[in-house]
Amino acid sequence: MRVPVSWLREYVSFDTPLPELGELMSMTGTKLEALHRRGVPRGLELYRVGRVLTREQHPNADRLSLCTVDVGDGDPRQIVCGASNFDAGATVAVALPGAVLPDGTELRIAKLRGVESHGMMLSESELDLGQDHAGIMLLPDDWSVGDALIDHLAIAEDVLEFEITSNRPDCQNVYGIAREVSAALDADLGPWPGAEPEATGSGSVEDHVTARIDAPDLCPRWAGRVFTGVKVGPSPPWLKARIAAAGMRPISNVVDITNYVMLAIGEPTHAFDLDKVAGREIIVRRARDSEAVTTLDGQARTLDTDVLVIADAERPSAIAGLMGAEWSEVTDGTTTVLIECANFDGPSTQRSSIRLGLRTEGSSRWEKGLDPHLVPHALALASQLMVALTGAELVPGTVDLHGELPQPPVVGLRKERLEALIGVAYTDREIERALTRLGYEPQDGRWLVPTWRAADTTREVDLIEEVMRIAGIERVPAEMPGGHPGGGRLGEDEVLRRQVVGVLRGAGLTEAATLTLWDAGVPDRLRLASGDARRDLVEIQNPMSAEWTAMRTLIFPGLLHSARTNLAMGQAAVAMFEVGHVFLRSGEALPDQPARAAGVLAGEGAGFFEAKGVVEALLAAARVETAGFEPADEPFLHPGRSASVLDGFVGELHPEVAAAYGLEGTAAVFELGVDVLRGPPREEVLYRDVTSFPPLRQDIAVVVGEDVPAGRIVEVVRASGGAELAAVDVFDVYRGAPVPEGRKSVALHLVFQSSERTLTDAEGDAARERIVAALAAELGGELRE
Amino acid sequence: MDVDALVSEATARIEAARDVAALEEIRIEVLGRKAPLVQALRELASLPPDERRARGDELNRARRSLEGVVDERARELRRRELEERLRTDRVDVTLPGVRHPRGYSHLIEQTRRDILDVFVGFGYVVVDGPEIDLVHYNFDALNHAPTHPSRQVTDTFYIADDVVLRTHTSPVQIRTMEAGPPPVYMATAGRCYRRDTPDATHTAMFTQIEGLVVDRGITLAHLKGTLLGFARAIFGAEREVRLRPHFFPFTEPSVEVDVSCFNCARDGSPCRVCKGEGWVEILGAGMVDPNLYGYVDGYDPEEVSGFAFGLGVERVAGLRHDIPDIRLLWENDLRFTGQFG
Ligand SMILES: [Zn+2]
Repeated sequence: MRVPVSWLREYVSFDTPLPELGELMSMTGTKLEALHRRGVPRGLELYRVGRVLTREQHPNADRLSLCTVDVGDGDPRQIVCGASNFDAGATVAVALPGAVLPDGTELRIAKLRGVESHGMMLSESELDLGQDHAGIMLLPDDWSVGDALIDHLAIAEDVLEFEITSNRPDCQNVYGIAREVSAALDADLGPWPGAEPEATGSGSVEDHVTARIDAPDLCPRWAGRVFTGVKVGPSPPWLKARIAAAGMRPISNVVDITNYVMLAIGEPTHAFDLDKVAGREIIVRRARDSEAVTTLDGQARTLDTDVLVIADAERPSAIAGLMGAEWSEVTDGTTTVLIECANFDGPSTQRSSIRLGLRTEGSSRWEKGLDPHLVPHALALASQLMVALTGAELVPGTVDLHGELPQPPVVGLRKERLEALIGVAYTDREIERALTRLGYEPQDGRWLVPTWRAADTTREVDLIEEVMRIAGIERVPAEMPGGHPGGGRLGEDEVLRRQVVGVLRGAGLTEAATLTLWDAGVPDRLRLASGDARRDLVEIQNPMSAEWTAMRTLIFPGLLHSARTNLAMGQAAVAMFEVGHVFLRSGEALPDQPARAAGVLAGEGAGFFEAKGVVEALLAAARVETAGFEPADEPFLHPGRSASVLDGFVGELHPEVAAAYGLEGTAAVFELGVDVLRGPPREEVLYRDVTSFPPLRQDIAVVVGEDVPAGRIVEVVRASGGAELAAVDVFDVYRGAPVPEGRKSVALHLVFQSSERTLTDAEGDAARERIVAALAAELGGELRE
Repeated sequence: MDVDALVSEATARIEAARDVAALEEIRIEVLGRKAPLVQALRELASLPPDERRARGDELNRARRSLEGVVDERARELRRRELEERLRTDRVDVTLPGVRHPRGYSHLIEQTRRDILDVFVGFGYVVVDGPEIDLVHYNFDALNHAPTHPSRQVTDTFYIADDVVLRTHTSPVQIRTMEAGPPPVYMATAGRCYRRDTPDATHTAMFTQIEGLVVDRGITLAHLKGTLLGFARAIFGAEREVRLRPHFFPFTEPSVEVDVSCFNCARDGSPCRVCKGEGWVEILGAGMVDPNLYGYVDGYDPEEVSGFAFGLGVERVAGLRHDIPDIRLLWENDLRFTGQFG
């Protein structure tokens, strides 16, 4: 909300410097976004009211005229002017040499086609007061020659720009801001703007228009007044200046008046050319399905029954609260005007605004919900201005249709509750001052909420907020609460996450943060077969782009992108991981969202065993001892160089998948559920004596068929080794003479240990013999000496 | 034979020996079988008995003395030779060490941990919550009016009419209160989603940290003290915080929180972080709106009160590390990550 300061001062007076006022407003809940200076930046004394004494043709230029202009100091200036919309006697705005224009240019004595010009007669656009640059501004003749222009016209204006939160539509206008200023400064607020003019028109409003509301749910109140003898034309300079300073465009006196009322008190109003209204009848109704209307901006729009319209006997003349229809527009020829001051339902106006893609200054106010009690204030201010500025006569009477209007709530405020919630002590006087300045009225020990706050303030806590902010939020001290009686802690999920992240970093992988969202092509790029649950993506109904249409079901594909870009940047090797959530349809409203850990190794030194080593580190850290690696059957992995483990997998990428992600050379990935890495609870890990008695170490090499996996050998060794077998490790695989063709020799370290006694060599030999026998029986293995 | 003269002369020679070999030669000369001292000892038996004892003592003393001097000199020479050998066994210590692979932690993770750790220190329990959540938790139970703009399909990603990608971590407030009675001291961190067009300060996916405290006698002053502690832990011990009244549907009163600028000092003026204001907005917070307690059991607003806050991890990381564009955080460029890991 842009608030011109001279306008604000009309409703509340203050001496506080603007930066200080802005700070105070920010600290009481109306945040100052910016402080702008509009118009003439400095040297205001060089701008005067002048009168043209003579106007002649420039001797050397057809399009220029040579004028003498009285600026009130008895020393008429010679001014060369390019405009032609004036004659001798005109009252004009003059800038003298040395003046700085709003666009920053400094005026000098200049020679124009050989003739000196000692100043400039100004147009609206040169003063940043409006769009008109065709001619110079013609000022009222009763302005005294020689007066400083600023005394009549806001040629320089400070504008405070505030951020208004969505719960405060009452602050989207100058008077509402003035109320907040009055509360913040504890200064008096002026009366509501607008004084009812005398109704001098003939007949009564009923003679001119009939109205009815067919959709009271969407329009709780509709009021209108009729003005005859309207002369449509430009607004006076002061009005243009205010409209422009508030950030809108001056259009014509009638339209500017409707905008002024909205900017002044927050009620959007609309003007109809009543002579164009068929049957002089106003019907506030829902649009018919597919009803068409062309709005003021020239757009043809198709409506539906959720949209409220203001119609005449035949067709819509406006989309309620949003924009008028082109055909009912007030034009230069308009003489009879109907001014509408209504109350429209916020949510439905918002829906229509979104559906039609039509957001206006009006809709941005309606959608937050406005006070139906604003209507009389708006009627008074609009009427006053219509009569004063358009030469119109107000027809006696007002059409004002409404049912029972909501009465504002009366809310109690307990001082002890206020102090208990804020942590500050307040005096009764402070409480009363804050609330009355904001428009609350005491009523039987409770507070009557002002109508413009009725939607927002319904509970004690809402009053607590008002007192807290107006009495000064700086007074709130900084204190610490006690904390959880059980003590602070990271919680299981976070502890596990940190453990996994720590192991992966320790293994040399760098953490990544990749997108949780996939494009629809990912399942095909991963070669996921139909029926694979990971193809059944959780889709977004309203994606922003084709790249982000569904939630990921796997984490590693995002890492492939990162690997590719980093390799492309010249990294020789890339090792990255991510711990995050995947999303799998569950049959319930919410999908399953388990946390998973994934990694990618690409470039130099990337292969199945490197990736498996990382997974083994994760398993070891989690004390998961039972995880077996089996050949995997994942469509995105190399079928001969991949394994499944627990609820995940590890392996080299299938070449087609690597190619789909632009990866050259070998890349290996792994992915596992984080939950399977939880391991046993810490308190279940109990001491075993591993130091008192020395271990017995033995190495064996066993020759088996090529098709026997090393993991199978280890299984057989474990099963036959006895209770004292503490560790089995494969340390070599040998093929070639003297091992026969089609067979291989697998070498293992065996460690036997007891926590009760020192094992004898004889015990070791016995265990070894059991193992060798089992290997022979189950795997056809022979001991290699 | 003048034993004293012999000892002092031999001692001088031993102590002057330049290396182990020279020392050995001298030792043989003065203590070897043919040495005069040893000869004299051998001839003791030929002396008269009354002289024999005194002479024997004198000669033995001299021999032990010289043996000690030889041992001492030998130790010293060996030490010297070792030193000499080590002196020549040199490496170029400026050559690089043998590299071990090292992974970097992501800046979002680092920042997230730093912040969570602060709140653990304040007595909070860290929990997790779902990224896809019900409209009930994301909006309804957080007191968002049916027409609240953030519910619009232009602002929020919908999975179904009643399911969204959470737009903030605040749903965890309700889930935590549902899970058990007060007191609650909860912190949570995670990904959130909004249909924001990406720019230097926004991404459609971002990381938020949420805190919720509900207990007897919790005040706005407690919120301020908590956030002051947080700001000092994260942005430096000299920081101050400032609350400004604001509006959020699920807190009342609501505040925006500014931290005194940490860049003015770092950078000199004019400061581009605070634009000369001296304050930088870091988060939104407020006292839990009593309407929220109506959505859960066991929370009576006459008995307990609470506060909640939510902050953007990327924003904190960006401010703390002077990162001009938070989209860099999601690019996973190892050169970028490596600056901070
Ligand atoms: Zn600064």
